[in-house]
Amino acid sequence: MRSFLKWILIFLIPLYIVIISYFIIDPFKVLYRYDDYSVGSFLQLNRDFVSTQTFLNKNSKYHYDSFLFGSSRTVGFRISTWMKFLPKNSIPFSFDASNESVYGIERKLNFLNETKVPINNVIILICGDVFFNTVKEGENYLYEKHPILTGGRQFLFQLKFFKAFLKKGFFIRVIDYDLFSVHRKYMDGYLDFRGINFDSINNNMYLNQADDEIKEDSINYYLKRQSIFYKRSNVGNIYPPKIGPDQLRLLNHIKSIFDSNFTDFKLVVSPLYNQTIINPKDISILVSIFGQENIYNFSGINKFTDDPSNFYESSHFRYKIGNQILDSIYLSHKRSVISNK
Amino acid sequence: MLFNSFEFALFLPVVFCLYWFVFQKNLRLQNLFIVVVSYFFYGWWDWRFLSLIIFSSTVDYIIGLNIGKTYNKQKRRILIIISFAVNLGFLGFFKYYNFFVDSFISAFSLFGVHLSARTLNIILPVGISFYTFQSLSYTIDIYRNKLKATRSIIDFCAFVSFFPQLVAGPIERATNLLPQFYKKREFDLELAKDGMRQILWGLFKKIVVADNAAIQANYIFSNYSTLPASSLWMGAVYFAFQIYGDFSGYSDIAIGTARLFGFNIMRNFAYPYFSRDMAEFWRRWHISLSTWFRDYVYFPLGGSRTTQWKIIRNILIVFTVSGFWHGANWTFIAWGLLNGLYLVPLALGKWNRKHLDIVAENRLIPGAGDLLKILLTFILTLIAWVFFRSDNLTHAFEYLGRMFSAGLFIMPRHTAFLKIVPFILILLLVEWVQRTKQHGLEISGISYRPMRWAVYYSVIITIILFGGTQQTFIYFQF
Repeated sequence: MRSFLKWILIFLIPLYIVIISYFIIDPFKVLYRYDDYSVGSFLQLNRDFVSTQTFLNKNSKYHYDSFLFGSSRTVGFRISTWMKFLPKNSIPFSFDASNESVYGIERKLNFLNETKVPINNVIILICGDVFFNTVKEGENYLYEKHPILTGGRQFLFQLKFFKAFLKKGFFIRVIDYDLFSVHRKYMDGYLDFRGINFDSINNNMYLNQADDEIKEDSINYYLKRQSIFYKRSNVGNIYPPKIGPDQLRLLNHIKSIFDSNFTDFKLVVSPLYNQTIINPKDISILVSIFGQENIYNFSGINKFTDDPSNFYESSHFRYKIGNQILDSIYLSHKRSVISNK
Repeated sequence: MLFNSFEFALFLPVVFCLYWFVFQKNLRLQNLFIVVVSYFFYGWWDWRFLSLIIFSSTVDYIIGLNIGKTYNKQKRRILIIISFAVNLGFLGFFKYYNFFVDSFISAFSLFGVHLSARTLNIILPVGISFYTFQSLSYTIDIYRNKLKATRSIIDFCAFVSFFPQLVAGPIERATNLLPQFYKKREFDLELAKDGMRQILWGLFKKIVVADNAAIQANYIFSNYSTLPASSLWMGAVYFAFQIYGDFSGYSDIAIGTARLFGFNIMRNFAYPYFSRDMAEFWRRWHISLSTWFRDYVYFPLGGSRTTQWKIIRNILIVFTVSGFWHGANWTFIAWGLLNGLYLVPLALGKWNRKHLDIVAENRLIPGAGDLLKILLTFILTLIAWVFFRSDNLTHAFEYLGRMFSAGLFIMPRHTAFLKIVPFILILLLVEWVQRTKQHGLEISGISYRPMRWAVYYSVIITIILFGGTQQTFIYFQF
């Protein structure tokens, strides 16, 4: 038996290399604390974890009191622009997550409320395609919620990332890049070279590489991406109603947190490239819970969604649109609803 | 849990250590431990079906004891019928209820009669086709006085539920596996090492060959109406290696795992794509199932020691039922029937036992005659696999029709050759060289140790670098 165990130990050497490399490289940046999560990162990180961990690491120093919630489309908002509309001395923070849902936002607000963090100003970015999901756990490590928000087990959370690392030759690309820092073609689809940066203080996401490319040669930028900008039907599609009992419960809880914190809040429905309108039934439920004056609906066919050059690709609008939206919602006293065709 | 999953990678070493270091001294406890971990393994899929396997095991245990106790022919017959009824009843309900209802409705609609009957939302318990047949072999062998009933319910449950082969075979015979639970297992170093090699080879076949071939096969079968005949032939080839890599890979992992625990379970594949005729193919493909049908259906029907018409009848019944065993779809029945038709002329001409030796034994390269036979046999299996893979008969016939069209001479459009063909060639080369051995990595005969380790690490690195997207084992759906 001893000989067999010795034999197995040698047999499994490649496995040890993989396991040890995971702990050394920490490709998903979930094992150790980081001051700046965008430095040295070459993988798409779990934004929920990064946002939450950045908050936990920095809040004692900066004392955030204003929060931007939403999916990766929050990249269309500049915290520096938002600050111009906030009361003096406000400290905003982008508390976003990939594919963020009403469940994720409710958990974050619940956490802030329970830990007595002031919630003075809030923007919630509602994306019609993902916001109303209430699924707590997904298969994909990218959408896992930080265990401190959900009460989940740290070990199971970490295990999900380890298993993702072991999948389908992923780790070989990670180890290769970590050792040689050379972008090879076979890494495409596994590693992320899009040049995404996060502000280390307010966690605002920037697509610097894309912004630079557009600034330098916007024509070429959009020409290269013609296939991504799919043709739209111009018909004015509507999402089916998505607010059910689970969503209602979460939305009501969010409102109660706003009430108890005297929060100045705004719910902004994203202008998405797909030009699909949030269902009017869902809008009226949101209005009934949050008040008409706090809902700003930019979904559907409008000046923001018409022009493809308002988007980086077919999913994320550019920050120039975010700036216009902020102007619109803060400077206008009327509910800002862009007329839809 | 899948064999190629993180969970199994954790499960196996824990079970191995407990089995050999904690429970080794007491045989009864060790067997009980096997039952517990096997039920845990099975329950991981869906705990609701544990009651099913426990119930059918209990019924067959009691029936086995009672058959063994009585010499009364009628009573024995009643008991064996009960065993059939329980096992095949569960199998029939879970696997075939909706099929029969739908077929019934379709048949009546041909005559303009529209029936309204409800199909049920039935989940197929994993492995039911395998463990019911395994359990049935026990009661049948007792009935035939080939086996003595076991008094130990633990031993019997361990035999039925033994986790390495529980969900997708090999379908073991009680005469082979059950006695291995009666005696103490001593750790055998060479058996365990070879078990690990066989597991590694199985993982290569599954992860590298089958999972990569699946991607190509799925694409071609889904888009066959837009692709030329040459691509459709490639699709059939990819599927042939997908199902071979998948199923024989699983069997290798199952057999290798069993060996880690000191068990020898039956071989399930013996390099079937090197067969020189279809009779030889069926002696080499899914051996545990084909011998089960031979011993428990074909021979009782009279086998080949009867009139020519009955030989034809027996062959067609066995293969049709075998096809039906695979799934509740007319495509499986058609697949089985076609294979039966392939065998009929061989049986009638008494050529079905022509190739009992290993092809080109003691030679590196087969002769031209053997090569031609291998290719022709492979083509026949490809045609049959189209039925197996297709969603329905219409799909199968359309696919086959397009396979034999003029597009045969056009370059295949979906040419993902580099993604899979090299691995298929490696598989064929290794298995050709190793065709006298039990499995592709049986290389203990290589005395130069660094060479052996180079082979192991080459296979491991190939799996790491070139493994395909994880696919469920095909035979889990049976």
